[in-house]
Amino acid sequence: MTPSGHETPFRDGLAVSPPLILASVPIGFLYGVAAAGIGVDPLQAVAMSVAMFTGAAQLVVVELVASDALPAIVVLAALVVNLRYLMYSASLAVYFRDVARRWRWLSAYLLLDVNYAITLDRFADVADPDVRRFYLGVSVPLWLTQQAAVVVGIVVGASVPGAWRLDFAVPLVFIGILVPAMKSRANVAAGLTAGTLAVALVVLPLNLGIVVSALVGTVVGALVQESEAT
Amino acid sequence: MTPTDTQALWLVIGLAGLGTFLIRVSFFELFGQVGEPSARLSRALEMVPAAVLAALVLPRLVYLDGTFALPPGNAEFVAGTVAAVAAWYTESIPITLAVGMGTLWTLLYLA
Repeated sequence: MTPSGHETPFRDGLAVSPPLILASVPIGFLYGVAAAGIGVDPLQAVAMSVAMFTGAAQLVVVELVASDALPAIVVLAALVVNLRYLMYSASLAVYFRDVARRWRWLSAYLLLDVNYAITLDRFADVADPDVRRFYLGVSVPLWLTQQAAVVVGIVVGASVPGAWRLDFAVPLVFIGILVPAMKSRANVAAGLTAGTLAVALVVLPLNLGIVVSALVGTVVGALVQESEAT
Repeated sequence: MTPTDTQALWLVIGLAGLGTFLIRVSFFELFGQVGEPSARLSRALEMVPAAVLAALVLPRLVYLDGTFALPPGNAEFVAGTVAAVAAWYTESIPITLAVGMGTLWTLLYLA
């Protein structure tokens, strides 16, 4: 028995993955539907999902590509949305310090909000060698089901008529994520600022309005947060 | 770029994928060489999703084909608002989706 009490860490990881899969599969499916819906080549849609492996950012990319954004803006927006992975990387780095590079890189590639949270939750002892195997046990099924969901979504999206307006599902998912987060004052400040500014700056070329609004909104939210902390 | 601009799309896929990987692997590789990000930076980064999502959603709801349009002409605005209310109370993405799409289809059907 190892320090954390896991006898079969990889299998324990597999065992806890189902609810996490249930939570992330819909986003992958929706991404596939949306990408196919706007006419993205299926191979490219899958390639993007493999290359990025981040639900929310992929939806943002689809939304921006659908509105004719410049490639630079699309990439920038995706990276901005994914900046929170810096935090996850920082927190989990210590667990992977003594691991061979190829496993370090594989583990980094598979990093998501959910496997980050559950790993931190389960392992207090950073020296516990089980962490790596548990993490992989959680992450590999997540990756497989995500890609499968994307493929299914692409097939469905390509066969559903445009009149069903499934493209509206992407903003709805954003609303589903955004609105519950509005229960904190700092988030309200960030969201309201960014939202209204984005509406006003629609006239800016190259979707710059979105990037500028997001940055300003983030700063405003951070300031409100700091003022609350003091 | 358009959705069918395959060259531009490969560029986006490559750069977004590489960039995201670099973000994820950053501290795994720099461990010990660079200090952890400050608590302040962590808190500030928490604001990013709200700001980005709001910047994407609000214009999408209030603009119809490039022009500013509020109800009754703009069904998506109404559907989005109803969905937002559902999201506030249920905090469930599937329910938000169902309510939003249902409202949109109803409004479009009645129009």
